[in-house]
Amino acid sequence: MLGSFVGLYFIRYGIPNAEPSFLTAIMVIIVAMAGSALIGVIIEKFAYRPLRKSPRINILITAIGVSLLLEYGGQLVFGASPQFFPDILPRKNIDLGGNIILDSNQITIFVISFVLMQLLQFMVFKTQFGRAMRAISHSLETANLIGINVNKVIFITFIIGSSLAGAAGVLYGVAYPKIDPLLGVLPGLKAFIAAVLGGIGNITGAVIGALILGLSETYVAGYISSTYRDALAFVILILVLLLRPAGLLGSKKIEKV
Amino acid sequence: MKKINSTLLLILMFLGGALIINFVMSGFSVSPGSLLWMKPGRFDGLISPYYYSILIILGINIILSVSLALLNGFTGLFTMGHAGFMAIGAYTSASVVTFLLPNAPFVIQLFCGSLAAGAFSALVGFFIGTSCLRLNGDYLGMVTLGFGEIIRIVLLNIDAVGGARGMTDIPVYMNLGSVFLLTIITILVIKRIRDGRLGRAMLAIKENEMAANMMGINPLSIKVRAFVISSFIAGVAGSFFAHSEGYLSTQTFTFTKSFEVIAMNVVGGLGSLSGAIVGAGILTVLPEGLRKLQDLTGIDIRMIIYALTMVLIMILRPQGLMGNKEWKWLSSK
Repeated sequence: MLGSFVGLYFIRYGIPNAEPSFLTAIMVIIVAMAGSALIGVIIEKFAYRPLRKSPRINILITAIGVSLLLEYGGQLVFGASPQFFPDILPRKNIDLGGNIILDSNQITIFVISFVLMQLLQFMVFKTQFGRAMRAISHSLETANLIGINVNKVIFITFIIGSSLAGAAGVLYGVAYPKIDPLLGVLPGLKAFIAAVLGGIGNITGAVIGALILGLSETYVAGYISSTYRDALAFVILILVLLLRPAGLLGSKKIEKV
Repeated sequence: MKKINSTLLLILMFLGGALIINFVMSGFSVSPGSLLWMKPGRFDGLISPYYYSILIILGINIILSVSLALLNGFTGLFTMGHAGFMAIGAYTSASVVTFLLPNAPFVIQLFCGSLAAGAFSALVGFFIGTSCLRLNGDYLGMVTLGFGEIIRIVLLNIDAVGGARGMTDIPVYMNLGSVFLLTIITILVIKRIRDGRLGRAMLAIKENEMAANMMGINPLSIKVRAFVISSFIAGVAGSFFAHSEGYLSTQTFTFTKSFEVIAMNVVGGLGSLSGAIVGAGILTVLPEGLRKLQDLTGIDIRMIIYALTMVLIMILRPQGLMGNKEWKWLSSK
Protein backbone atom coordinates (compact mmCIF):
# COMPACT_ATOMS: atom_id res chain seq x y z
CA MET A 1 0.00 0.00 0.00
CA LEU A 2 2.70 2.46 1.03
CA GLY A 3 4.72 1.61 -2.05
CA SER A 4 1.95 2.45 -4.46
CA PHE A 5 1.12 5.67 -2.63
CA VAL A 6 4.74 6.80 -2.42
CA GLY A 7 4.96 6.02 -6.13
CA LEU A 8 1.75 7.90 -6.85
CA TYR A 9 2.85 11.02 -4.99
CA PHE A 10 6.28 10.88 -6.60
CA ILE A 11 4.68 10.77 -10.05
CA ARG A 12 2.26 13.52 -9.15
CA TYR A 13 4.66 15.96 -7.51
CA GLY A 14 8.20 14.77 -8.30
CA ILE A 15 7.95 14.22 -12.02
CA PRO A 16 4.67 15.79 -13.04
CA ASN A 17 5.18 15.80 -16.80
CA ALA A 18 6.98 12.50 -17.28
CA GLU A 19 6.30 10.50 -20.42
CA PRO A 20 5.53 6.81 -19.81
CA SER A 21 8.81 5.03 -20.34
CA PHE A 22 10.96 2.35 -18.77
CA LEU A 23 13.19 4.99 -17.21
CA THR A 24 10.23 6.62 -15.45
CA ALA A 25 8.99 3.27 -14.26
CA ILE A 26 12.37 2.32 -12.82
CA MET A 27 12.69 5.72 -11.16
CA VAL A 28 9.24 5.39 -9.61
CA ILE A 29 9.98 1.88 -8.38
CA ILE A 30 13.25 2.95 -6.80
CA VAL A 31 11.66 5.92 -5.04
CA ALA A 32 8.79 3.76 -3.82
CA MET A 33 11.23 1.14 -2.54
CA ALA A 34 13.24 3.81 -0.72
CA GLY A 35 10.10 5.33 0.82
CA SER A 36 8.77 1.99 2.04
CA ALA A 37 12.20 1.02 3.34
CA LEU A 38 12.36 4.25 5.33
CA ILE A 39 9.01 3.60 6.95
CA GLY A 40 9.91 -0.06 7.50
CA VAL A 41 13.04 1.01 9.35
CA ILE A 42 11.12 3.46 11.52
CA ILE A 43 8.62 0.74 12.41
CA GLU A 44 11.40 -1.70 13.19
CA LYS A 45 13.06 0.83 15.45
CA PHE A 46 10.00 1.81 17.44
CA ALA A 47 7.69 -1.19 17.36
CA TYR A 48 9.79 -4.32 16.97
CA ARG A 49 13.13 -3.57 18.61
CA PRO A 50 11.66 -3.11 22.12
CA LEU A 51 10.00 -6.50 21.71
CA ARG A 52 13.03 -8.49 20.58
CA LYS A 53 12.99 -10.60 23.73
CA SER A 54 9.20 -10.94 24.13
CA PRO A 55 7.23 -14.09 23.43
CA ARG A 56 6.17 -14.75 19.84
CA ILE A 57 2.55 -14.02 20.56
CA ASN A 58 3.35 -10.43 21.54
CA ILE A 59 5.29 -9.92 18.32
CA LEU A 60 2.39 -11.34 16.35
CA ILE A 61 -0.06 -9.00 18.05
CA THR A 62 2.25 -6.05 17.37
CA ALA A 63 2.56 -7.07 13.73
CA ILE A 64 -1.22 -7.12 13.37
CA GLY A 65 -1.46 -3.80 15.17
CA VAL A 66 1.18 -2.16 12.97
CA SER A 67 -0.39 -3.33 9.74
CA LEU A 68 -3.84 -2.15 10.81
CA LEU A 69 -2.31 1.14 11.90
CA LEU A 70 -0.64 1.64 8.51
CA GLU A 71 -3.76 0.74 6.57
CA TYR A 72 -6.23 2.83 8.51
CA GLY A 73 -3.70 5.57 9.21
CA GLY A 74 -3.26 5.60 5.42
CA GLN A 75 -6.96 6.33 5.12
CA LEU A 76 -6.46 9.29 7.42
CA VAL A 77 -3.53 10.64 5.40
CA PHE A 78 -4.44 9.75 1.83
CA GLY A 79 -8.22 9.69 2.14
CA ALA A 80 -10.39 6.61 1.98
CA SER A 81 -11.58 6.94 -1.61
CA PRO A 82 -9.66 5.15 -4.38
CA GLN A 83 -7.25 7.16 -6.50
CA PHE A 84 -6.13 6.77 -10.07
CA PHE A 85 -2.63 5.46 -10.64
CA PRO A 86 -1.22 6.98 -13.86
CA ASP A 87 0.43 5.00 -16.64
CA ILE A 88 4.17 4.87 -16.15
CA LEU A 89 4.88 2.30 -18.81
CA PRO A 90 4.15 2.45 -22.53
CA ARG A 91 1.21 0.10 -22.96
CA LYS A 92 0.52 -1.99 -26.02
CA ASN A 93 -1.21 -5.25 -26.72
CA ILE A 94 0.62 -8.23 -28.12
CA ASP A 95 -1.47 -10.68 -30.10
CA LEU A 96 -0.28 -14.22 -29.69
CA GLY A 97 -2.75 -15.68 -32.12
CA GLY A 98 -5.95 -17.44 -31.21
CA ASN A 99 -7.81 -15.48 -28.58
CA ILE A 100 -4.76 -14.78 -26.47
CA ILE A 101 -3.86 -11.14 -26.14
CA LEU A 102 -1.12 -10.12 -23.75
CA ASP A 103 -0.78 -6.68 -22.28
CA SER A 104 2.82 -5.48 -22.42
CA ASN A 105 2.48 -4.34 -18.79
CA GLN A 106 1.83 -7.89 -17.69
CA ILE A 107 5.10 -8.99 -19.28
CA THR A 108 7.01 -6.12 -17.69
CA ILE A 109 5.58 -6.90 -14.27
CA PHE A 110 6.52 -10.53 -14.70
CA VAL A 111 10.09 -9.64 -15.73
CA ILE A 112 10.59 -7.12 -12.91
CA SER A 113 9.31 -9.49 -10.25
CA PHE A 114 11.48 -12.27 -11.67
CA VAL A 115 14.58 -10.06 -11.48
CA LEU A 116 13.79 -8.97 -7.91
CA MET A 117 13.21 -12.58 -6.94
CA GLN A 118 16.56 -13.68 -8.34
CA LEU A 119 18.23 -10.84 -6.45
CA LEU A 120 16.58 -11.96 -3.24
CA GLN A 121 17.49 -15.60 -3.83
CA PHE A 122 21.11 -14.58 -4.40
CA MET A 123 21.19 -12.40 -1.33
CA VAL A 124 19.70 -14.99 1.01
CA PHE A 125 21.59 -18.06 -0.17
CA LYS A 126 24.85 -16.84 -1.66
CA THR A 127 26.11 -13.98 0.52
CA GLN A 128 27.60 -13.75 3.99
CA PHE A 129 24.72 -11.51 5.01
CA GLY A 130 22.13 -14.05 3.87
CA ARG A 131 23.87 -16.72 5.91
CA ALA A 132 23.67 -14.49 8.99
CA MET A 133 20.00 -13.92 8.30
CA ARG A 134 19.25 -17.62 8.09
CA ALA A 135 21.25 -18.24 11.26
CA ILE A 136 19.10 -15.71 13.11
CA SER A 137 15.94 -17.32 11.83
CA HIS A 138 17.21 -20.59 13.26
CA SER A 139 18.14 -19.30 16.68
CA LEU A 140 18.55 -15.70 17.72
CA GLU A 141 20.65 -16.40 20.80
CA THR A 142 23.11 -18.72 19.11
CA ALA A 143 23.55 -16.31 16.22
CA ASN A 144 24.35 -13.61 18.75
CA LEU A 145 26.84 -15.90 20.47
CA ILE A 146 28.84 -16.61 17.35
CA GLY A 147 29.32 -12.93 16.71
CA ILE A 148 26.50 -11.92 14.39
CA ASN A 149 25.24 -8.40 14.98
CA VAL A 150 21.59 -9.36 15.32
CA ASN A 151 20.20 -5.85 15.44
CA LYS A 152 22.05 -4.84 12.29
CA VAL A 153 20.99 -7.91 10.33
CA ILE A 154 17.34 -7.57 11.33
CA PHE A 155 17.54 -3.86 10.46
CA ILE A 156 18.78 -4.69 6.94
CA THR A 157 16.22 -7.47 6.60
CA PHE A 158 13.49 -4.94 7.31
CA ILE A 159 14.94 -2.64 4.64
CA ILE A 160 14.92 -5.46 2.09
CA GLY A 161 11.47 -6.72 3.04
CA SER A 162 9.73 -3.38 3.05
CA SER A 163 11.43 -2.12 -0.11
CA LEU A 164 10.35 -5.27 -1.96
CA ALA A 165 6.81 -4.69 -0.71
CA GLY A 166 7.12 -1.10 -1.97
CA ALA A 167 8.10 -2.35 -5.43
CA ALA A 168 5.13 -4.72 -5.33
CA GLY A 169 2.94 -1.73 -4.51
CA VAL A 170 4.05 0.11 -7.66
CA LEU A 171 3.57 -3.02 -9.78
CA TYR A 172 0.08 -3.37 -8.29
CA GLY A 173 -0.63 0.21 -9.35
CA VAL A 174 0.57 -0.59 -12.87
CA ALA A 175 -1.60 -3.69 -13.10
CA TYR A 176 -4.75 -2.29 -11.45
CA PRO A 177 -4.66 1.51 -11.82
CA LYS A 178 -7.08 2.09 -8.93
CA ILE A 179 -5.39 2.23 -5.55
CA ASP A 180 -6.74 2.80 -2.04
CA PRO A 181 -5.17 2.47 1.43
CA LEU A 182 -6.73 -0.93 2.06
CA LEU A 183 -5.42 -2.54 -1.12
CA GLY A 184 -2.72 -4.46 0.73
CA VAL A 185 -4.90 -6.37 3.21
CA LEU A 186 -5.88 -9.36 1.10
CA PRO A 187 -2.62 -9.53 -0.92
CA GLY A 188 -0.74 -9.50 2.39
CA LEU A 189 -2.75 -12.43 3.72
CA LYS A 190 -2.40 -14.24 0.43
CA ALA A 191 1.35 -13.67 0.40
CA PHE A 192 1.49 -15.45 3.73
CA ILE A 193 -0.69 -18.25 2.38
CA ALA A 194 1.52 -18.62 -0.70
CA ALA A 195 4.60 -18.79 1.51
CA VAL A 196 3.02 -21.46 3.71
CA LEU A 197 1.88 -23.39 0.63
CA GLY A 198 5.39 -23.47 -0.77
CA GLY A 199 7.12 -23.98 2.56
CA ILE A 200 8.25 -21.19 4.89
CA GLY A 201 11.85 -20.11 4.28
CA ASN A 202 11.96 -21.37 0.72
CA ILE A 203 11.87 -18.70 -2.00
CA THR A 204 11.28 -21.09 -4.90
CA GLY A 205 8.51 -22.67 -2.88
CA ALA A 206 6.93 -19.28 -2.26
CA VAL A 207 6.94 -18.57 -6.01
CA ILE A 208 5.35 -21.93 -6.84
CA GLY A 209 2.83 -21.43 -4.02
CA ALA A 210 1.91 -18.00 -5.36
CA LEU A 211 1.50 -19.37 -8.91
CA ILE A 212 -0.77 -22.19 -7.74
CA LEU A 213 -2.81 -19.81 -5.58
CA GLY A 214 -3.19 -17.20 -8.33
CA LEU A 215 -4.17 -19.71 -11.01
CA SER A 216 -6.67 -21.55 -8.85
CA GLU A 217 -8.24 -18.28 -7.73
CA THR A 218 -8.70 -17.20 -11.33
CA TYR A 219 -10.25 -20.57 -12.24
CA VAL A 220 -12.63 -20.48 -9.28
CA ALA A 221 -13.64 -16.92 -10.11
CA GLY A 222 -14.16 -17.86 -13.75
CA TYR A 223 -15.91 -21.21 -13.45
CA ILE A 224 -17.67 -21.22 -10.07
CA SER A 225 -18.38 -17.83 -8.53
CA SER A 226 -16.27 -14.75 -8.03
CA THR A 227 -17.55 -14.32 -4.48
CA TYR A 228 -15.91 -17.60 -3.51
CA ARG A 229 -12.53 -16.44 -4.82
CA ASP A 230 -11.21 -15.11 -1.51
CA ALA A 231 -12.51 -18.10 0.41
CA LEU A 232 -10.47 -20.42 -1.80
CA ALA A 233 -7.15 -19.00 -0.58
CA PHE A 234 -8.11 -19.82 2.99
CA VAL A 235 -9.37 -23.28 2.05
CA ILE A 236 -5.98 -23.96 0.43
CA LEU A 237 -4.19 -22.67 3.53
CA ILE A 238 -6.20 -24.90 5.82
CA LEU A 239 -5.74 -27.98 3.63
CA VAL A 240 -1.99 -27.43 3.36
CA LEU A 241 -1.55 -26.92 7.08
CA LEU A 242 -3.59 -29.98 7.89
CA LEU A 243 -2.17 -32.34 5.29
CA ARG A 244 1.37 -31.14 4.80
CA PRO A 245 2.31 -28.53 7.43
CA ALA A 246 5.84 -28.14 6.06
CA GLY A 247 4.52 -26.92 2.70
CA LEU A 248 5.07 -28.37 -0.75
CA LEU A 249 8.84 -27.93 -0.85
CA GLY A 250 9.55 -27.59 2.86
CA SER A 251 11.51 -30.08 4.86
CA LYS A 252 10.11 -31.39 8.10
CA LYS A 253 11.70 -29.98 11.23
CA ILE A 254 12.02 -32.22 14.24
CA GLU A 255 10.96 -30.52 17.43
CA LYS A 256 13.32 -31.27 20.27
CA VAL A 257 12.52 -30.82 23.90
CA MET B 1 -22.41 -24.63 51.89
CA LYS B 2 -21.17 -21.11 52.45
CA LYS B 3 -19.62 -21.02 48.97
CA ILE B 4 -22.89 -22.02 47.27
CA ASN B 5 -24.77 -19.45 49.24
CA SER B 6 -22.50 -16.60 48.24
CA THR B 7 -22.70 -17.48 44.54
CA LEU B 8 -26.46 -17.86 44.76
CA LEU B 9 -26.68 -14.55 46.55
CA LEU B 10 -24.61 -12.88 43.85
CA ILE B 11 -26.87 -14.24 41.09
CA LEU B 12 -30.01 -13.23 42.99
CA MET B 13 -28.55 -9.78 43.51
CA PHE B 14 -27.93 -9.30 39.82
CA LEU B 15 -31.32 -10.76 38.94
CA GLY B 16 -32.86 -8.21 41.24
CA GLY B 17 -30.72 -5.51 39.65
CA ALA B 18 -31.91 -6.52 36.20
CA LEU B 19 -35.54 -6.44 37.35
CA ILE B 20 -35.10 -2.98 38.83
CA ILE B 21 -33.42 -1.68 35.67
CA ASN B 22 -36.27 -3.03 33.54
CA PHE B 23 -38.86 -1.73 35.98
CA VAL B 24 -37.45 1.78 35.74
CA MET B 25 -36.78 1.61 31.99
CA SER B 26 -40.27 0.41 31.15
CA GLY B 27 -41.76 3.42 32.83
CA PHE B 28 -42.68 1.67 36.11
CA SER B 29 -44.79 -1.04 34.57
CA VAL B 30 -45.21 -4.26 36.53
CA SER B 31 -46.34 -6.71 33.85
CA PRO B 32 -44.05 -9.78 33.77
CA GLY B 33 -43.23 -9.24 30.10
CA SER B 34 -41.81 -5.80 30.69
CA LEU B 35 -39.95 -6.88 33.81
CA LEU B 36 -38.14 -9.86 32.29
CA TRP B 37 -37.81 -9.21 28.57
CA MET B 38 -38.98 -5.77 27.75
CA LYS B 39 -39.57 -5.03 24.12
CA PRO B 40 -37.62 -1.98 23.04
CA GLY B 41 -39.01 1.41 22.24
CA ARG B 42 -40.62 1.47 25.66
CA PHE B 43 -37.78 3.13 27.54
CA ASP B 44 -39.22 6.22 28.97
CA GLY B 45 -36.80 8.93 27.92
CA LEU B 46 -34.68 8.11 30.95
CA ILE B 47 -31.66 7.28 28.82
CA SER B 48 -31.34 8.55 25.30
CA PRO B 49 -31.50 5.77 22.68
CA TYR B 50 -27.87 6.50 21.83
CA TYR B 51 -26.52 5.67 25.29
CA TYR B 52 -28.99 2.81 25.52
CA SER B 53 -27.59 1.16 22.41
CA ILE B 54 -24.00 1.76 23.54
CA LEU B 55 -24.73 0.02 26.83
CA ILE B 56 -26.25 -2.96 25.02
CA ILE B 57 -23.26 -3.21 22.67
CA LEU B 58 -20.99 -2.93 25.70
CA GLY B 59 -22.69 -5.96 27.25
CA ILE B 60 -22.38 -8.00 24.07
CA ASN B 61 -18.75 -6.99 23.67
CA ILE B 62 -17.99 -8.06 27.24
CA ILE B 63 -19.55 -11.47 26.56
CA LEU B 64 -17.45 -11.84 23.39
CA SER B 65 -14.27 -10.64 25.03
CA VAL B 66 -14.70 -12.96 28.00
CA SER B 67 -15.38 -15.94 25.76
CA LEU B 68 -12.23 -15.19 23.77
CA ALA B 69 -10.29 -14.87 27.03
CA LEU B 70 -11.07 -18.53 27.61
CA LEU B 71 -9.15 -19.42 24.45
CA ASN B 72 -6.51 -16.71 24.19
CA GLY B 73 -5.93 -15.92 27.80
CA PHE B 74 -6.42 -19.15 29.70
CA THR B 75 -5.58 -21.89 27.20
CA GLY B 76 -3.02 -19.89 25.22
CA LEU B 77 -4.58 -20.69 21.83
CA PHE B 78 -4.23 -17.59 19.70
CA THR B 79 -7.30 -17.54 17.47
CA MET B 80 -8.31 -14.79 15.08
CA GLY B 81 -11.70 -16.04 13.90
CA HIS B 82 -14.03 -15.13 16.71
CA ALA B 83 -16.21 -13.01 14.45
CA GLY B 84 -16.99 -16.18 12.51
CA PHE B 85 -18.56 -17.86 15.53
CA MET B 86 -20.49 -14.71 16.30
CA ALA B 87 -21.75 -14.62 12.70
CA ILE B 88 -22.89 -18.24 12.88
CA GLY B 89 -24.73 -17.54 16.12
CA ALA B 90 -26.36 -14.38 14.85
CA TYR B 91 -27.56 -15.90 11.58
CA THR B 92 -28.66 -19.19 13.17
CA SER B 93 -30.70 -17.47 15.83
CA ALA B 94 -32.23 -15.03 13.37
CA SER B 95 -33.15 -17.88 11.00
CA VAL B 96 -34.62 -20.04 13.76
CA VAL B 97 -36.78 -17.19 15.00
CA THR B 98 -37.98 -15.95 11.60
CA PHE B 99 -38.27 -19.23 9.68
CA LEU B 100 -38.91 -22.00 12.21
CA LEU B 101 -40.82 -20.35 15.06
CA PRO B 102 -42.41 -17.23 13.61
CA ASN B 103 -45.51 -17.43 15.82
CA ALA B 104 -44.15 -18.72 19.12
CA PRO B 105 -44.16 -16.50 22.22
CA PHE B 106 -41.03 -14.39 22.20
CA VAL B 107 -39.51 -15.95 25.33
CA ILE B 108 -39.56 -19.33 23.60
CA GLN B 109 -38.27 -17.80 20.37
CA LEU B 110 -35.39 -16.14 22.11
CA PHE B 111 -34.56 -19.19 24.21
CA CYS B 112 -34.63 -21.60 21.26
CA GLY B 113 -32.82 -19.11 19.02
CA SER B 114 -29.96 -18.53 21.45
CA LEU B 115 -29.67 -22.20 22.25
CA ALA B 116 -29.60 -23.18 18.57
CA ALA B 117 -27.09 -20.40 17.92
CA GLY B 118 -24.80 -21.61 20.67
CA ALA B 119 -25.18 -25.26 19.71
CA PHE B 120 -24.47 -24.75 16.02
CA SER B 121 -21.57 -22.45 16.76
CA ALA B 122 -20.18 -25.00 19.22
CA LEU B 123 -20.51 -27.70 16.57
CA VAL B 124 -18.46 -25.65 14.13
CA GLY B 125 -16.06 -24.84 16.97
CA PHE B 126 -15.69 -28.56 17.65
CA PHE B 127 -14.90 -29.20 13.99
CA ILE B 128 -12.39 -26.34 13.80
CA GLY B 129 -10.88 -27.26 17.14
CA THR B 130 -10.30 -30.89 16.23
CA SER B 131 -8.86 -30.06 12.83
CA CYS B 132 -6.53 -27.29 14.01
CA LEU B 133 -5.07 -29.03 17.01
CA ARG B 134 -1.75 -29.87 15.43
CA LEU B 135 -1.06 -26.20 14.82
CA ASN B 136 0.11 -23.59 17.22
CA GLY B 137 1.20 -19.99 17.34
CA ASP B 138 0.92 -17.96 14.15
CA TYR B 139 -0.37 -20.89 12.10
CA LEU B 140 -3.34 -21.45 14.37
CA GLY B 141 -4.09 -17.74 14.19
CA MET B 142 -4.00 -17.72 10.40
CA VAL B 143 -6.13 -20.85 10.05
CA THR B 144 -8.80 -19.61 12.43
CA LEU B 145 -8.78 -16.28 10.59
CA GLY B 146 -9.26 -18.29 7.40
CA PHE B 147 -12.17 -20.22 8.90
CA GLY B 148 -13.76 -16.99 10.06
CA GLU B 149 -13.55 -15.53 6.57
CA ILE B 150 -14.86 -18.75 4.97
CA ILE B 151 -17.86 -18.69 7.31
CA ARG B 152 -18.52 -15.09 6.34
CA ILE B 153 -18.19 -15.73 2.61
CA VAL B 154 -20.45 -18.78 2.78
CA LEU B 155 -23.09 -16.72 4.63
CA LEU B 156 -22.69 -14.03 1.99
CA ASN B 157 -23.62 -16.58 -0.67
CA ILE B 158 -26.73 -17.96 1.05
CA ASP B 159 -29.62 -16.12 -0.48
CA ALA B 160 -32.19 -17.21 2.13
CA VAL B 161 -30.52 -15.08 4.80
CA GLY B 162 -30.26 -12.06 2.57
CA GLY B 163 -26.81 -12.60 1.07
CA ALA B 164 -25.08 -9.33 0.38
CA ARG B 165 -28.25 -7.35 1.12
CA GLY B 166 -28.15 -8.38 4.75
CA MET B 167 -30.90 -9.95 6.84
CA THR B 168 -33.69 -7.63 7.86
CA ASP B 169 -36.84 -7.83 9.98
CA ILE B 170 -35.30 -9.79 12.82
CA PRO B 171 -37.47 -9.35 15.90
CA VAL B 172 -35.78 -7.19 18.53
CA TYR B 173 -35.96 -8.69 22.02
CA MET B 174 -32.93 -7.62 23.98
CA ASN B 175 -33.13 -4.86 26.50
CA LEU B 176 -30.77 -3.37 29.01
CA GLY B 177 -31.84 -5.56 31.92
CA SER B 178 -31.61 -8.84 30.06
CA VAL B 179 -28.26 -8.00 28.46
CA PHE B 180 -26.94 -6.96 31.88
CA LEU B 181 -28.14 -10.18 33.48
CA LEU B 182 -26.80 -12.41 30.71
CA THR B 183 -23.45 -10.64 30.74
CA ILE B 184 -23.07 -11.22 34.45
CA ILE B 185 -24.13 -14.86 34.13
CA THR B 186 -21.56 -15.37 31.34
CA ILE B 187 -18.81 -13.81 33.43
CA LEU B 188 -19.68 -15.99 36.42
CA VAL B 189 -19.83 -19.14 34.28
CA ILE B 190 -16.40 -18.41 32.81
CA LYS B 191 -15.07 -17.70 36.30
CA ARG B 192 -16.40 -21.06 37.52
CA ILE B 193 -14.83 -22.83 34.56
CA ARG B 194 -11.51 -21.12 35.17
CA ASP B 195 -11.47 -22.03 38.84
CA GLY B 196 -12.54 -25.61 38.27
CA ARG B 197 -10.63 -28.63 37.09
CA LEU B 198 -10.99 -27.70 33.42
CA GLY B 199 -9.69 -24.18 33.97
CA ARG B 200 -6.64 -25.38 35.85
CA ALA B 201 -5.89 -27.83 33.06
CA MET B 202 -6.20 -24.96 30.56
CA LEU B 203 -3.78 -22.79 32.52
CA ALA B 204 -1.34 -25.70 32.77
CA ILE B 205 -1.44 -26.17 28.99
CA LYS B 206 -0.82 -22.47 28.47
CA GLU B 207 2.23 -22.52 30.71
CA ASN B 208 3.79 -25.67 29.31
CA GLU B 209 1.91 -28.13 27.17
CA MET B 210 4.42 -30.95 27.51
CA ALA B 211 4.64 -30.65 31.29
CA ALA B 212 0.84 -30.61 31.46
CA ASN B 213 0.77 -33.77 29.40
CA MET B 214 3.19 -35.38 31.82
CA MET B 215 0.88 -34.49 34.69
CA GLY B 216 -1.85 -36.59 33.11
CA ILE B 217 -3.75 -33.84 31.29
CA ASN B 218 -4.85 -34.65 27.78
CA PRO B 219 -4.04 -31.38 25.95
CA LEU B 220 -6.06 -32.29 22.84
CA SER B 221 -9.25 -32.93 24.75
CA ILE B 222 -8.85 -29.81 26.88
CA LYS B 223 -8.17 -27.65 23.83
CA VAL B 224 -11.23 -28.98 22.01
CA ARG B 225 -13.34 -28.33 25.10
CA ALA B 226 -12.01 -24.77 25.29
CA PHE B 227 -12.90 -24.29 21.61
CA VAL B 228 -16.41 -25.68 22.06
CA ILE B 229 -17.22 -23.62 25.17
CA SER B 230 -15.78 -20.45 23.71
CA SER B 231 -17.59 -20.83 20.40
CA PHE B 232 -20.83 -21.66 22.20
CA ILE B 233 -20.67 -18.40 24.15
CA ALA B 234 -19.61 -16.43 21.09
CA GLY B 235 -22.58 -17.92 19.22
CA VAL B 236 -24.95 -16.89 22.01
CA ALA B 237 -23.41 -13.40 21.95
CA GLY B 238 -24.07 -13.33 18.20
CA SER B 239 -27.68 -14.27 18.85
CA PHE B 240 -28.04 -11.41 21.36
CA PHE B 241 -26.46 -9.11 18.81
CA ALA B 242 -28.97 -10.19 16.15
CA HIS B 243 -31.90 -9.60 18.49
CA SER B 244 -30.69 -6.23 19.66
CA GLU B 245 -29.88 -4.76 16.25
CA GLY B 246 -32.68 -6.32 14.23
CA TYR B 247 -30.48 -6.25 11.15
CA LEU B 248 -27.55 -8.43 10.13
CA SER B 249 -24.98 -7.88 7.44
CA THR B 250 -21.94 -10.02 6.72
CA GLN B 251 -19.93 -6.80 6.69
CA THR B 252 -20.23 -6.73 10.49
CA PHE B 253 -18.34 -9.99 10.85
CA THR B 254 -15.16 -9.37 8.88
CA PHE B 255 -11.82 -10.12 10.44
CA THR B 256 -11.65 -6.57 11.78
CA LYS B 257 -14.35 -7.65 14.25
CA SER B 258 -12.12 -10.52 15.37
CA PHE B 259 -9.20 -8.11 15.80
CA GLU B 260 -11.47 -5.84 17.80
CA VAL B 261 -12.16 -8.64 20.28
CA ILE B 262 -8.47 -9.60 20.38
CA ALA B 263 -7.57 -5.98 21.05
CA MET B 264 -10.01 -5.94 23.98
CA ASN B 265 -8.25 -8.95 25.47
CA VAL B 266 -4.79 -7.55 24.83
CA VAL B 267 -5.57 -4.14 26.29
CA GLY B 268 -7.06 -5.58 29.45
CA GLY B 269 -4.38 -8.20 29.83
CA LEU B 270 -4.22 -11.70 28.36
CA GLY B 271 -5.02 -14.20 31.07
CA SER B 272 -7.12 -11.92 33.24
CA LEU B 273 -10.90 -12.14 33.31
CA SER B 274 -11.26 -8.66 34.78
CA GLY B 275 -8.85 -7.50 32.09
CA ALA B 276 -11.12 -8.82 29.35
CA ILE B 277 -14.00 -6.84 30.86
CA VAL B 278 -11.94 -3.68 31.29
CA GLY B 279 -10.63 -3.98 27.73
CA ALA B 280 -14.12 -4.42 26.32
CA GLY B 281 -15.26 -1.39 28.29
CA ILE B 282 -12.43 0.84 27.11
CA LEU B 283 -12.57 -0.17 23.47
CA THR B 284 -16.35 0.21 23.31
CA VAL B 285 -16.57 3.56 25.02
CA LEU B 286 -13.40 5.20 23.69
CA PRO B 287 -14.42 5.26 19.98
CA GLU B 288 -17.81 6.70 20.95
CA GLY B 289 -16.11 9.41 22.96
CA LEU B 290 -13.99 10.25 19.93
CA ARG B 291 -16.93 10.30 17.55
CA LYS B 292 -16.58 14.06 17.06
CA LEU B 293 -13.07 13.48 15.75
CA GLN B 294 -14.47 10.83 13.46
CA ASP B 295 -17.06 13.21 12.03
CA LEU B 296 -14.29 15.71 11.47
CA THR B 297 -12.01 13.37 9.55
CA GLY B 298 -14.80 11.43 7.89
CA ILE B 299 -13.16 8.03 8.22
CA ASP B 300 -13.55 5.04 10.49
CA ILE B 301 -11.26 6.06 13.31
CA ARG B 302 -12.05 3.01 15.45
CA MET B 303 -9.58 0.80 13.64
CA ILE B 304 -6.79 3.32 14.22
CA ILE B 305 -7.61 3.35 17.92
CA TYR B 306 -7.62 -0.45 18.12
CA ALA B 307 -4.34 -0.73 16.23
CA LEU B 308 -2.62 2.03 18.17
CA THR B 309 -3.70 0.71 21.57
CA MET B 310 -2.59 -2.81 20.60
CA VAL B 311 0.90 -1.63 19.56
CA LEU B 312 1.36 0.75 22.48
CA ILE B 313 0.21 -1.79 25.06
CA MET B 314 2.57 -4.40 23.61
CA ILE B 315 5.51 -2.00 23.82
CA LEU B 316 4.80 -0.21 27.08
CA ARG B 317 2.88 -2.73 29.13
CA PRO B 318 2.90 -6.18 27.51
CA GLN B 319 0.94 -7.74 30.33
CA GLY B 320 -2.04 -5.45 29.68
CA LEU B 321 -3.75 -2.98 31.97
CA MET B 322 -4.80 -5.52 34.58
CA GLY B 323 -1.77 -7.80 34.24
CA ASN B 324 -2.50 -11.02 36.07
CA LYS B 325 -4.60 -9.31 38.71
CA GLU B 326 -8.31 -9.85 39.13
CA TRP B 327 -11.01 -7.90 40.87
CA LYS B 328 -11.97 -9.35 44.19
CA TRP B 329 -15.30 -10.82 43.08
CA LEU B 330 -13.57 -12.56 40.18
CA SER B 331 -10.44 -13.76 41.92
CA SER B 332 -10.07 -17.48 42.40
CA LYS B 333 -9.54 -17.29 46.17
